[in-house]
Amino acid sequence: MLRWLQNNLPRIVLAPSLVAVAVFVYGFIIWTAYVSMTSSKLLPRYDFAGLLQYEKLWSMPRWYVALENLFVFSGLFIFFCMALGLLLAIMLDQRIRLEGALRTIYLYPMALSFVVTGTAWKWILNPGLGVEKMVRDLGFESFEFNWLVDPDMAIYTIVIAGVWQSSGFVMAMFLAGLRSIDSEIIKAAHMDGASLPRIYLGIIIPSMSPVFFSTFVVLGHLAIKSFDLIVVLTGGGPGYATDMPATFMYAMAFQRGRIGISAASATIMLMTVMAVVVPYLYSELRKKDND
Amino acid sequence: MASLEIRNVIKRFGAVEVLKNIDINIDDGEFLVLVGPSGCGKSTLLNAIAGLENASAGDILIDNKIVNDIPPKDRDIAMVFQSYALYPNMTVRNNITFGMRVRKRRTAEQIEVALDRVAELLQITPLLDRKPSQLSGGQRQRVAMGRALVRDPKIFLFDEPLSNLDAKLRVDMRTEIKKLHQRLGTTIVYVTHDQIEAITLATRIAVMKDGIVQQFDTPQVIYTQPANAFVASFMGSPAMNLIPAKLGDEDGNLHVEVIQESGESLSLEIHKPEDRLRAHVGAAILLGLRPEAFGDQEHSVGINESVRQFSSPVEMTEPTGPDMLAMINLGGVEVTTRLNAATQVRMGSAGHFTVDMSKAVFFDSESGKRI
Repeated sequence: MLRWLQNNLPRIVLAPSLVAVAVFVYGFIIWTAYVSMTSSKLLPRYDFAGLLQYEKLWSMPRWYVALENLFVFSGLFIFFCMALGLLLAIMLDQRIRLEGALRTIYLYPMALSFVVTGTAWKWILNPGLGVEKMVRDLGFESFEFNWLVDPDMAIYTIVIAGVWQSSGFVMAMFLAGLRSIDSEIIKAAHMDGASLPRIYLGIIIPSMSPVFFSTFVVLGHLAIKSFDLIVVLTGGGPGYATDMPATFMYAMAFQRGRIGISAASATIMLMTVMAVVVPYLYSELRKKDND
Repeated sequence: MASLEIRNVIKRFGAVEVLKNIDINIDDGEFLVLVGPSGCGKSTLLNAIAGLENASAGDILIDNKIVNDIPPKDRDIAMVFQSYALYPNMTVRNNITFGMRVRKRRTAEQIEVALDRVAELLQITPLLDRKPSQLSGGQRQRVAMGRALVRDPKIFLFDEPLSNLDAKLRVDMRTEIKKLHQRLGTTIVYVTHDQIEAITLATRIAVMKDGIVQQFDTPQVIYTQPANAFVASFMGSPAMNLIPAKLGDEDGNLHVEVIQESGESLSLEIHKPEDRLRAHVGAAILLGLRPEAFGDQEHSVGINESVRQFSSPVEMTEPTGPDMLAMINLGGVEVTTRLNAATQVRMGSAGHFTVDMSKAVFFDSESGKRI
């Protein structure tokens, strides 16, 4: 008995969490996928309606707004995070003083949750409270910075907050990548006559392509599942101008009572995330096999 | 091709002086090896020659022109690094031609011709389209040399280029570097901590320790007439034996007296002593004898007037193949002797040894300087 227990203890200890993950993660993924193919409205209805919910979903203007916002947001968010992160990393890489302190400062926003970031930026961008008021109080009466309440511009405020939060993390990843390059390579390039920009553009950055790829995947999935930042910063508004698939799904399921459409949008999001993550995992795992 | 002169170069990092008044001068086409234990400043000196670090004081002259303020890329020198420092994202071809493409001084055809010439010289033509990660250590080494060669610089700098290779490959590449030097005749400065590499490759060796050049001379002189006890023990493998002894004078015939642990004393007459030794009569000295100065009596070929004989218990024997190394105790220190492989000397028993005193060198036991 004791021996059986000894042999099986790891399994017994791990079993509850395994069951929980199986039910609450994978079980509900399957459940959601199933519900998306029923005619459910306020409550789940267990029938089979084919692609009805998907047809409805793809005929809703609000879904298109959400998708468009997703592309605008992810594109700008990933681009600016990478550009800013790389710039910061290159500057920190120049053996400056206080590097440790600066690194921590830039990395610190990552320690905050998106809810805190969202709230802080909501105040900063609030025309009556933040930047606009501050500049007006300085005497520039006609100054306007009201993106937060402008339906056309509100999505960019989310980009600003997101970049502020994540670029430090990107910087840390790039800095690690830059530091992994042998300093003799840089010396060799110096002696070959290459200028510093050329060394970075021609040698260092190209040899960092795995870091770029990892960063892209991390930022990409952050963008697709971004929810809390939007809820806190704009609440999807004004109107539904800053809706994203995640907030769209939430609104459909819990505010509009349209579980079927919500499940359909969730399934599409899952597939989008998978389209980004699966090739990444595949390449990573294959690399390990080769080592 | 060029001469190189290092004039009173000092390098400080903060308050620490890592190079203390280095003075080295080599002619066009020489192969200078900087050798010394780690931390002796040899790599710093190489970086100063390359221009990767600036000297705190003193001048560096290439072709009689002071290059202190000339950046590395304009000094017309090429360097081979310990880690090879190949650009990982480029093919071998692009690695080799990168410098020429950056400088834009040659046309595409000229670059192609230069590349072909170097690739053929180093036998790396089939590897040109591979990435560095697809190459073995020896191949990377060749590519790194190719990248330096293709520029046709005035001086080549090598920073411990062989230390990442396995033992066999290291010997092969050593030979190749030497051949290359003979063929090209370019001035080379080569840093290593391996004294065998230093002796086999160099036309001139600078032995360094604590930022000071201990001796700067040809390999032959460094081996046979080391300037001090450090050079004596650092150069050569097994190292030179340094035996505590006393200089004695008997009717004008100088001899060294080695006090054995047993209390007996062994007296060895010095062959044709030089006059400056006489000033040290009665003083404690270190007797320097290379392992090959010893022999066993039955195999000593040239028993002549400089050879002395003595007996000693053998503490240990190590056959190396061509030779037999026998350890004995002289004057309280372990002494390595290199004997004929067929020797009858056996561990634990007494052996009859010869020693050629014409090969002996003497050091002041206080300062370590050669007398």
